[in-house]
Amino acid sequence: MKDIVIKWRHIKREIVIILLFYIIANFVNVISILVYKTSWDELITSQKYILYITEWLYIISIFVRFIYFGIRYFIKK
Amino acid sequence: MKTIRISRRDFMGKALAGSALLMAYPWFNALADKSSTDYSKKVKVGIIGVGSRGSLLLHYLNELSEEINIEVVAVCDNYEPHYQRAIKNTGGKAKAFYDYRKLIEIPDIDAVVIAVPLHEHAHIAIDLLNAGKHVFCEKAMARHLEDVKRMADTFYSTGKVLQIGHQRMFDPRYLKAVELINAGEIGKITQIRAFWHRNNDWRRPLPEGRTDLERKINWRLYREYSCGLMTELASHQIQVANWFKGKTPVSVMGKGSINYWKDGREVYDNVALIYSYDDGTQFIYDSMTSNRHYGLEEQIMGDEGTLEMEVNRRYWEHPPPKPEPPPPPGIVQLMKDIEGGIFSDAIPLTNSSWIPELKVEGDGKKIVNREKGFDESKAQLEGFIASVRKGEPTKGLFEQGYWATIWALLGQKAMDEQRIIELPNELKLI
Ligand SMILES: NC(=O)c1ccc[n+]([C@@H]2O[C@H](COP(=O)([O-])OP(=O)(O)OC[C@H]3O[C@@H](n4cnc5c(N)ncnc54)[C@H](O)[C@@H]3O)[C@@H](O)[C@H]2O)c1
Repeated sequence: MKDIVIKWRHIKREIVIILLFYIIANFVNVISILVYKTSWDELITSQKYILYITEWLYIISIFVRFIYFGIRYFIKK
Repeated sequence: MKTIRISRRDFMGKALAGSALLMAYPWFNALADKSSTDYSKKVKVGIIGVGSRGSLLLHYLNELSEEINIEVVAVCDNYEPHYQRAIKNTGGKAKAFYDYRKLIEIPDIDAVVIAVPLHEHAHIAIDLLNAGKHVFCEKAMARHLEDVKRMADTFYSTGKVLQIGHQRMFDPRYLKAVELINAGEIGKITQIRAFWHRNNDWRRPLPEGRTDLERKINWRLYREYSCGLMTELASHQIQVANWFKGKTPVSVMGKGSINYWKDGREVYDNVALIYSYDDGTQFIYDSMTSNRHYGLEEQIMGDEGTLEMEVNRRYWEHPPPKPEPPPPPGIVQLMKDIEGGIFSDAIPLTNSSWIPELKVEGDGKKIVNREKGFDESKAQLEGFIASVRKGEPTKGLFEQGYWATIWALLGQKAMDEQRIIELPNELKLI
């Protein structure tokens, strides 16, 4: 059986992806505060929603990458 | 002047503070106006019929003896166990009789409480009034319409107090409700509904081997002595309906039957009636003895609100809107809008005509804050003694009892004769 080796490079990449999604979620929050004219406090108080969105974006990204690499693997074969 | 404790009167005062009732309801006034009553002379009281209700009234009279300076000096009952119990409950101090006529002969008795079965009310009350005694007589007034009228005639001719035991007139929930109605708080009363539902056979157990006492103990179940649900229960609620409407009905129709307790009783075990007032208001009444899910209530319905005194609640037809909740955070609104955008094309399954007309939402509000331990049956005895002290009846109080019994008996007649009954001329009060 082949050992799976997770390299630091991979972890770093995943952290960067998560950070990117976190920034996107905060950006969406800023937009919604402007559109719905709610309080700027929500930059802090809505962090739980930001974290949910980040988590969901990350899960979706795993799913998308899984399909992408799966298709590429079969084409190469 | 003797010092008295004034807790109950104070309570009534507090519960109805600032109320117009002192003006509108003189019987309440008699109870609340402690300053104008002279308590120095002891009022001597007798009691005739010391069964279930009579024992309770005796208990209240004993409790009140110090507070309002009264003494139960005589008791009367023609059933040995109750006779003995009554003697015991007065600590052996009161004179005891089997025959009420002996009690009437005691010269210094000022007032007498009658709590015998219905068919005995009239002749005892009339004899007492004619002998110059003030009388508190349990509801209903009498078994027969002519007897009710004879009691009324004697009441007016002797000028003595004749108070009928409708304790709701001394109940702060009801007093406050009348005040709310007079102030227009529930708008125009357009319908009254009342019901008294029980789930039992209404029988009392007979002593071992004494089937001969059936009619004496279970007198409520036999036509000779009672009209059952109408005189024993409905009379209270008819009194409330008339009082709240400020008038008496013009006609009644109804149906009754024995559909459950087929045990030899003669009175109906369920009744349903409609009393009509001259302004078109209907008072819809029913009583039954085989289901108590809805219990007991009087529902006074106006175009602006509803009152339910038994549960002490008032409701609004248009409840004040609840304050808007603060808007959710912007990001939540965004997510909802995105979701709405995706699913907004749903086709509605019904149009608005399919929406059921459900009851108005809201738990309402208390009519009045009740003091724990307050008892309106005790308060009405206090009111009675206050009238006795004055030596004259309280205006308007007797008539409440009169019309309650008249319309209870006319209701019974309507059911028995299967027709709409109007008030016969000879029963009108001048
Ligand atoms: N206001 C209320 O809420 C209320 C409640 C219960 C009863 N009541 C009324 O009280 C009255 C009595 O009801 P109850 O449940 O106490 O009945 P009950 O049968 O328990 O008591 C009646 C008593 O009167 C006695 N009696 C009968 N004829 C008599 C006579 N000629 N002389 C002396 N004593 C006599 C009986 O022996 C008995 O002890 C009825 O009119 C009833 O409608 C009113």
